Amino acid sequence: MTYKEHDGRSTRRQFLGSAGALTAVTLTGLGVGACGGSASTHSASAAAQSSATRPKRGGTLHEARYEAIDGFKLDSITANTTYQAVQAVMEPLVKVNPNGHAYLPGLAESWSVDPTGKIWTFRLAPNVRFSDGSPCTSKDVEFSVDTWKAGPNNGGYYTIIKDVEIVDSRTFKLHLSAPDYNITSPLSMAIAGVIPAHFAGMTADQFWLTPIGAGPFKVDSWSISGPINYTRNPYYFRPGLPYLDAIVNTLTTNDNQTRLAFLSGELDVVDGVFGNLAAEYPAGSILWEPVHFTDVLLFNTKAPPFDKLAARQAAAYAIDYPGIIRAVYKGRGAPPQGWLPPNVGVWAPPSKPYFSQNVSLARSLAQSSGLAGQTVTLRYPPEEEEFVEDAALVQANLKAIGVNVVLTPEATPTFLGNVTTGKYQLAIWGYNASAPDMGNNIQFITTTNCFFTGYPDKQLADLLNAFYETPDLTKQRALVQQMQNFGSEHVPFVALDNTEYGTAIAANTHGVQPTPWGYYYYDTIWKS
Amino acid sequence: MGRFAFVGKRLLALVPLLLGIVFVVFLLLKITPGNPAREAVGLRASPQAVAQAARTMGLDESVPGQFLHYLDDAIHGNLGYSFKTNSPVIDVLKPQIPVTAWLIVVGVMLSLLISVPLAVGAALRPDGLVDHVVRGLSVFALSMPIFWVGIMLITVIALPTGALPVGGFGHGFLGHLRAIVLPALTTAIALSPVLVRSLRATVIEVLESEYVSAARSLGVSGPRLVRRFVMRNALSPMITLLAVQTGYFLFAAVIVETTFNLPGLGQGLVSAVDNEDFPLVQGYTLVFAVAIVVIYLVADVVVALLDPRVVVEG
Repeated sequence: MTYKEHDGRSTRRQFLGSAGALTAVTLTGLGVGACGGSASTHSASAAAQSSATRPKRGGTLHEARYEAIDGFKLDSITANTTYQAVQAVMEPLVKVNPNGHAYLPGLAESWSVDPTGKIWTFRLAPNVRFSDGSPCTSKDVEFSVDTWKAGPNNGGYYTIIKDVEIVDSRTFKLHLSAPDYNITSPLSMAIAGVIPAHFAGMTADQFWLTPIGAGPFKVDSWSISGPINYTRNPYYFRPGLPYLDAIVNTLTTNDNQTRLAFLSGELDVVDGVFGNLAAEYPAGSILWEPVHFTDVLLFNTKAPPFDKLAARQAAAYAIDYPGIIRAVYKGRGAPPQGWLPPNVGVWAPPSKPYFSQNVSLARSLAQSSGLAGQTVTLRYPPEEEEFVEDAALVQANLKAIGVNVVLTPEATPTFLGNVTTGKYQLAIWGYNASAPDMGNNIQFITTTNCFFTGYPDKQLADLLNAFYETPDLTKQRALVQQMQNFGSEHVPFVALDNTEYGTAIAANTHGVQPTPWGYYYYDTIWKS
Repeated sequence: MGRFAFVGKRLLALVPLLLGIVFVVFLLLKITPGNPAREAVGLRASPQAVAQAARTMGLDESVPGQFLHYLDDAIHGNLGYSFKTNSPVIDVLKPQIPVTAWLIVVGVMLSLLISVPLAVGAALRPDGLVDHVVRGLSVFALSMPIFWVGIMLITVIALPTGALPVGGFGHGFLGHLRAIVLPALTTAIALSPVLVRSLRATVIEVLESEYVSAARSLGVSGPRLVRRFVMRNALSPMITLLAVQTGYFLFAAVIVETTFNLPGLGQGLVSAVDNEDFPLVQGYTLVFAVAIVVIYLVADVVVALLDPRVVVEG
């Protein structure tokens, strides 16, 4: 799947549960252990893995990724597989709890925010070192923040950080230009990896080709479409970790090859198995995460016929959502309950139930909007088998209400070129979180011209700002509901499904704990 | 013309040929929809940032200007930098070339090992049982999709026995050799049918020739007859055909490398196209073009060596 990562601020879990303004909240690390996360969301095989015998040091993990990475340059990170690849080397200050709802210490062992929400104090863990042996200090964090902010792609997440005040070599304060109680969200993403100041004496270009970080592994060699070879960072600050000596991450674009390599024992982990492929793997070998990944049907709201709300609603009511789950994902998913991916951060459904199939209403809306009888194009990237099948189902569903859909498969670069410039009528894409925060998804929407639909989303952006500015969970939830309502009322795009992300794991591999969006950390993985 | 002069002339002819190929590919990339600057910078980058990236990547120059710029760099050994990672194109291609070279060389060797005995065996008794079986197998092999052949070899040989890997390129010489067996066999199975049929036809024709009859009348028979009088005359057309087929399968390497997850030029090309990484695509094109011309050149030289009657004309 080439779901693209998306940015945004995460909702922050209120560990103290206070409904009022906070005087100071100190978040202490929950500790990283092999059995962190919510075991209740995992399959039986995962529970068995978590409770396996004592972790063993050594061995090489052979892992398959399903798409080419973007490289190790932090600002270039877009693909999910790149997040996965980069965070092994350039660990961020904050990590994500595999349950998808909370944070764990990364390079920072603790953090707190002042009552205004504008000053965050972080303390680095002791003995943090980069893979070249040099110590990681507050100065490196300061340089890293400047680097993140300067990025044309992801810099927008970090421009709220006005400056970095260095208290001592391990303590620093982030001064924000506005209150933000969710700054841990962008700080937990792989795009916020901490790097050595001044690129450790290299030019920026050289550094991104041979990156240095304070993560559990260092990169020996890599290429976008070839294997990525990691070896253990001998200076990793967590005693005893990582367990593995090395990781070999290979790109496999052929599902048959991936499956056969897994069956033969040449692969220990297959990253990204969806429902349509699950039956080809041995029973019990796939660790399923809660539903989260969301395919969407985008409407170009700037051009006929979907510039009319009634036309968009007609399409939304025409879709057979359970049918998509059955036919495309073989039951591994659920019809959407809102336009935002679930099982992340502070999620809330819209005030009224989300769209479900209502053909008579869809027909009526199609007639009144003039959509009935029209011919429209539906663009999608055919590299994704799921999108191909989604498109076929959408075509059939819209035909039932009198709309003739012409399927237009396009290679991903062409597809994105057309969709990002408004040269489409309907399009199918997908999205997911990359941090345990609902704002993460919303910010992606608002920073991409309302997910390429062109719909005015100032109201959404205002709700997002209000979301960031309150530490109150109840208020955050209410704001998320309003954001959901925006999607239901204005329908710039409609969610088609919420699907489960699967990771195939060999019986001798333990400690793989993916979040609902499929990311997992390598330091807890070991092989028996 | 002497052979050295012949080779030299062919190498010189390579230059305008390569120029033409690179220019055509360059033009095709330019008219392909999409925005490589957007691909390079990211989905969330502002239009201004995308425009700035386009300027940095030289995409705001005129098309002839971009091409001349590229040529100038290429002449100085600089094939440019990947739009995606800013890695030098040469550095991206370097580790991939040996992988594809292994595939093609071992594939060609296996195809010769398969096709020569089968073709000779079939030709020695035309319309006999062996001939019918060989011709039937050739048709069957020709009709099988190459990726299916690969999957079947994995399923039937690699998976149950564990003797050969399912995919990847392994480590070290022996690891590479183990890893390349099945992919090369896949290539050989695809190459062999046409070679078998061509060689069979040529051998039959040679067997009916006067000089072979003369040799027989002098008591030459059996393997000696085949080796000294038949094969040298029959191989030349097959070598030429083999060169053409090898050129074709250089591009089919995309399928074989994907099927067996080999990190070669084929898989790299697919990724480069997918990312609209123009410098990389042009680099791959250049490598493939040079490889094909070299293959044809080698084939011509081998034919000239095999058959002294071939006159290398200026």
